[in-house]
Parts: sequence; C-alpha cells; structure tokens
Amino acid sequence: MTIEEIERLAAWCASAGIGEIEVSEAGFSLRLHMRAVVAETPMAAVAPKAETVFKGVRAPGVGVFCLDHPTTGRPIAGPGQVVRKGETVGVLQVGPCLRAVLAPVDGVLGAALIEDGAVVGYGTPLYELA
Amino acid sequence: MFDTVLIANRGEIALRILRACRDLGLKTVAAYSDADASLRHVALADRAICIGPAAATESYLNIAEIITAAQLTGAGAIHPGYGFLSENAAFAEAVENAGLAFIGPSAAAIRTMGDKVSAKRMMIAAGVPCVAGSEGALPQDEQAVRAIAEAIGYPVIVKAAGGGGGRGMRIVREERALMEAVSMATKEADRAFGNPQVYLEKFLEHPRHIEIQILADKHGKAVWLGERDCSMQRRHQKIIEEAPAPGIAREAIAEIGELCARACLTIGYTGAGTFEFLYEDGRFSFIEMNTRVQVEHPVTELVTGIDIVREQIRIARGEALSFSQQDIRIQGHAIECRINAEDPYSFRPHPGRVERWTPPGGPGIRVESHLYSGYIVPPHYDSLVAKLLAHGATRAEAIRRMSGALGEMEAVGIATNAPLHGLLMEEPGFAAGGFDIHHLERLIEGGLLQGRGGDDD
Repeated sequence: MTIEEIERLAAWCASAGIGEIEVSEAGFSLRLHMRAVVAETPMAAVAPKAETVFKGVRAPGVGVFCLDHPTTGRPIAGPGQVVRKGETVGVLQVGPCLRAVLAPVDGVLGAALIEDGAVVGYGTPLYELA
Repeated sequence: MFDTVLIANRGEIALRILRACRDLGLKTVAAYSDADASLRHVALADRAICIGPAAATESYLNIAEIITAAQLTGAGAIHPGYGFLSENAAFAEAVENAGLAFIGPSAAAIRTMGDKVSAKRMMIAAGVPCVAGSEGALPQDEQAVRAIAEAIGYPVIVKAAGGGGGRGMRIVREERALMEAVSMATKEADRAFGNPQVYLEKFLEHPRHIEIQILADKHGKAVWLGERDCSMQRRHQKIIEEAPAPGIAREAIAEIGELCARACLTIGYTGAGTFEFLYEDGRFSFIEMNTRVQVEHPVTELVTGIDIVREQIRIARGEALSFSQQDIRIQGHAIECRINAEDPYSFRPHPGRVERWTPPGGPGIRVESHLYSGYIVPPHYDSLVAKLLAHGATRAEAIRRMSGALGEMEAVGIATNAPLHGLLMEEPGFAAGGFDIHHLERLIEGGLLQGRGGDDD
C-alpha cells in the first residue's frame, strides 16, 4: 500500500465516521485509529432562508441512532457545533455495520431530536440545523 | 414462532394483510415509503417505519432496508403481498437467511416456478397439461428452431423464459417471419429480464384465462379452492374476475384442480399460489404459476368462505390446514371489479386528492380499499385504489349487485374506471359469460368508448 492509498483510506474513514480500521494483505497489515476531527469554522454564516419543511439532519435509512461512536465511545457531534455540508454528525448502527449521518447543509447543530439507541427510519428528523 | 409481521407492501393489500394478522392475534409493522406516510395501514399498524424514498427501487424493492427494518422492529416474519418483491427468490432467500419467516413459498420453489421453462418442465412431469411447445429454451441452430415451429404448427408465440406480463412476446404466423421474431425476442428478453432464453409455444387464438387457487401446508397437504375466470383484460391486465367460471363443467375443473394440488407436493410448494391456464376448445393449457397471493383472491374467499391471507400466515407459522378438500364448497357466484385511479376511457392515470370517498355497501358487497376522504393518491405506484366485490346466489344476482355498488361508489376528486365497469356490467357479451381474453379489446376497437373522450390520443 502506498502512502497515497493510506491517505485516501484515512479520508474515506473520516468522511464515513469510521473510528478504526484494520487492513491486512500478504506480508502487510495496517491499523488506522482515527481521532475525532474538529470541524473548521465556516468563513461566513449561511443566510437564513424561509423554511416550511424540516431542513435539519434526517436519517439516511433504517438503523439504530447513536449519539456516541460505538467504537470510540466519544460523542460524534454536539449541540452548538458548527458543521459543514457532508460532515458526519451521527451514525446509524445496522448489525455490525455503521452508516454515517451527514449534514445536508452548513450550519450550527441543535440538540438531538431522537434518543440515543432509538430505532429510526428513512427521513426521521435527528437534529435541528440552524 | 413469530408474533409480529412486517408488511412489505402498500395500498389495499397492506391493509388486507394487517386485518388478517389482527384476526390471528399477531402484531404488525408497516414498512412504508416516504410518499406513503398517510396510508391507512400505516396508521393502524402497531408500529410503522419509513424504509426509503418514494421511488419503489429505493423503498419497496430495497431488500436490505426491509430486512433491517424487520430485525430492528422485532418482526419475525415478512409478508410481501403481491407485486414488488413477492416473487423475488433472492428476497425470499435473504429473509430466510436473516432467520425470519417469509410468508410465501421457499426461495427454491419461487425460483423454479419463476423461470417459465423450468416451470413448464415441472408441470409436464407432474402431469399438468401445457400448451404444445418447444422442450425448454430454443437452441442456437436455425434449422432446429424451424423444425420445432413446424412440429408445433403455426401460429406460434415466442416467449421469454424470464418474462411475464406480456413483455418479450411475439406472435409468428408464418415461417418466413420466424427467425427475425426469435432474434428480436431474445434481445428484448436479455434487456428486460437479464435472461436471453426464449421458447416457442402454440399460439391460441381465442383462449379464456382460467386459474386455480391452491393452498399447501408444510405437512404434505395441498388443496385447491376452485377456479377464477379472469378473461376480462386490457393489455394483459385483468380488470374483472369472477368465480366460478361460466359454462365449464365442474368435473373438468375438479380434474385440473386435483392435478394442481398434486403438483404442489411434487414441487415442494407451500403457501398460497395460483396456476394460470389458457382454456380453449375444452382444453386447459398451463401458462404460468403465481407464487404469491393475487389481487383477485377475494373472489375465491367469497365463494368458499376461506380467508386465503389468514391461511397463508398460518401455513408460514407451520400450522396444518384446518380443512380438507371435501370441506370446500363453492357457494353462489362472485365478481370483482378493479377500481383504478385513471380516466375510464383514455386509461390515463389520475392520481390526486380524494375529496370524498363513499364506499358502497349492502348484502353481498365487499370493498377492499385503502381510500378515505382527504387521502392523496400518489403518482408513484400502481393505480389500483379499490376492489369492489359482489357475491350473489347466481351470476345474474352478482352482476346486479355489482351494478348497484358501482353506482353507489363515490371517489370525488380523482377519476376512476368505475364508469367503464358500469358499461361492462350491461354489455351482452359479459352478461352471457364465457368470452375470451380479447373480448374487451375487441369491444374497444368496435367503438365501446367512442364519443367518451377515449380516442383522443
């Protein structure tokens, strides 16, 4: 595995909210341990738009909603945190798999609308996003 | 044994399944798409979970999401209804592998009966009469194909082994058109079904569509519940079904029914199922098997008094059939009209908000529908919004009751095909009974809809 490939793998893990990954091939094994990434502050606040429907963070599918990352035990995102579009703000656990919950737009995360460990469906509102 | 059933379907059949579960004391989970949160069964289910966006490929056809939903909501079984994943062997297999019960036959039985070539081979082995045709898929060799067609006798029909619903079919009336039709059908079959195999059958000119309903438990017992005549069709889509079939001797039905019940044991088929036949010149010819509950199952329920959906669930729970063939009696006559949200004469879909829904009633009338006043029919799915059923001591009484029910029914805000059904109830060919599957198309060509806005496209 080249350094570039490891960097790419690390980037994928970060964007998918994966905390730890082990890769082994013949004569080679790699273990990546990811640190929680602190989001950068956006350059300018997003202009508020007239909203009629829920514009916050919704569940991307069926799963168990986790406030804390199941492998690190650390919270994935907290209220008041500034997040960017596409940033992981939570995870859904489905058996042994984890699915990232992504912020649909830049914004400031509100309090979680769903309890940790609750079963959610596609489109369930998870966080307000201001 | 499971005590909770996840309903992986929508509309009237989802509601029908919910009611059967309730009668059996089972809890229900409604798995619905983003466009279906306002469905009646979603409100009535013990629990509801959204499984994806409106597009069926991302919701009602999403195997992984449906199975996850079942696991996370504690459902021990999945009922697939009809359409969507109901005849998908990979789905049945995935459900089995997840340790859940699939309310239907085994994945192996779905696979065998889903491939038309292997289904036909099984039927021939079980002694069920089939349309004369090629033994299995057609060979590559042109001379061999010509010889097969010659032996069957023209006209012949080229069909896709993996097909259904009239797609990938071609009628050939003379030898010089044969090879082109075979190659076109092969290409079409490959594109549409991912299986390029095609086969040849004798083309029947004036058949009726007669089907046999069966139920088979997991204890080696199989029964047949009489027949349904589904010859009133437009573009291979059934619109009116009835039982019993007018003018066919009960002995002939019993003979074919027995063969179907016995074939279930040969195939290892369990659950509810339907053997479809073409009927012409007094002969039945098997065309395909539907390995699921059918839209028109209530017709049989009315004349036999047996709740087919409840029996389906009981069989999946491993229970034995509580009745035998001798207990099954056909009482009176039943007719079903499929009510679609469409213009009755141009057949264009007409989704939208139902301002007021007034279902008909009275003796012998049954309504299967998810409609209510204020419900919005979404544009994403099949246009079936209700099934009206009429039961009477005689066929004439059933028709009269149906005419009355069609007149009573009100679905203000959407267009439905109820007026077309009303016309057909009065039509002499329908009143006589025993018409073939081209009857409705012939009526339309003959001007049935002229001056009614149906011929403007």
